[in-house]
Amino acid sequence: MTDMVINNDEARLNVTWSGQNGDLQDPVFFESTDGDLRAMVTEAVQNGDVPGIDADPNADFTDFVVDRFSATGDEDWNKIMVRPKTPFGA
Amino acid sequence: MKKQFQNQLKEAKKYTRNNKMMEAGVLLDKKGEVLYWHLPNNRSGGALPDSVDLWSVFWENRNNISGFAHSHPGFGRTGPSHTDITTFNAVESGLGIKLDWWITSGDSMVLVRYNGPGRLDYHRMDVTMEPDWVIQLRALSGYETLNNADIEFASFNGGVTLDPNGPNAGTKYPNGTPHHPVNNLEDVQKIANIRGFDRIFLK
Repeated sequence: MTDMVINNDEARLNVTWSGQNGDLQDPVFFESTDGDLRAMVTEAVQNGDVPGIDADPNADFTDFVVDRFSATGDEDWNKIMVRPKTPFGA
Repeated sequence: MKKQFQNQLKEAKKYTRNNKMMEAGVLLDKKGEVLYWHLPNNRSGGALPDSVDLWSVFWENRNNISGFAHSHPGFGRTGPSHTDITTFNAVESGLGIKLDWWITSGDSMVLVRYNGPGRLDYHRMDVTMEPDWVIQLRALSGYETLNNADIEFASFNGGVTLDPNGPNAGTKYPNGTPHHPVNNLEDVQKIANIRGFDRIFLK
């Protein structure tokens, strides 16, 4: 459940940083670009605005990726996750 | 664990297309033992693509992991790519811990660790005492199916084998070996010239 009011064109934005995980306090537009979303979480984590994540002025999400999950029967609202990328290449 | 590995090896070989090496990965716990084999269906000989499933495994085991190993194609000393290093940094930043990043080739291994001070300053060290799981990682990577010149040369037993009544024609390996003799003299001559043999075995 969430206390946020999330419209159909919005999403809950979840971020992982330094072993901690939390949601931004305000919903974001679901169609926001990856770059805009990374900028939002960078500012929020640097300022300590994400509940559950300690402020880190050096937070850098350059190599994090954005996963988008549309609302389903299990989840009533869209969800976006910003998490570390995991590809490896020779 | 042995049975689990054998099942995974069987599954992995399904995805080892065209007898080519395919990169594989393994997550290691704090005792250095295998926690999870990373063998996605979309892996290739040059890459393990981004995987939300792999990240989930990292996250769920974050209190009990020591590192991650993956394979690179070919033989000899290898090293991290830019993709590797930026992934190392991203995962460590997300987890809030530093990890050991092992990379193996077909016959060599290195260990990569953050060395600082820059975000992407990682240091590579040669590994002389290889962990036990490397054998499994290499098997799951399919190195044994590579066209290794030494293995191919040895498999001819010193000459080209001819079986006039056999089904094999052409010079493509393993044709001309005792297990796949060629059925015509023209191919025998070509293979002998390519490989440098001066002996013919009649089967």
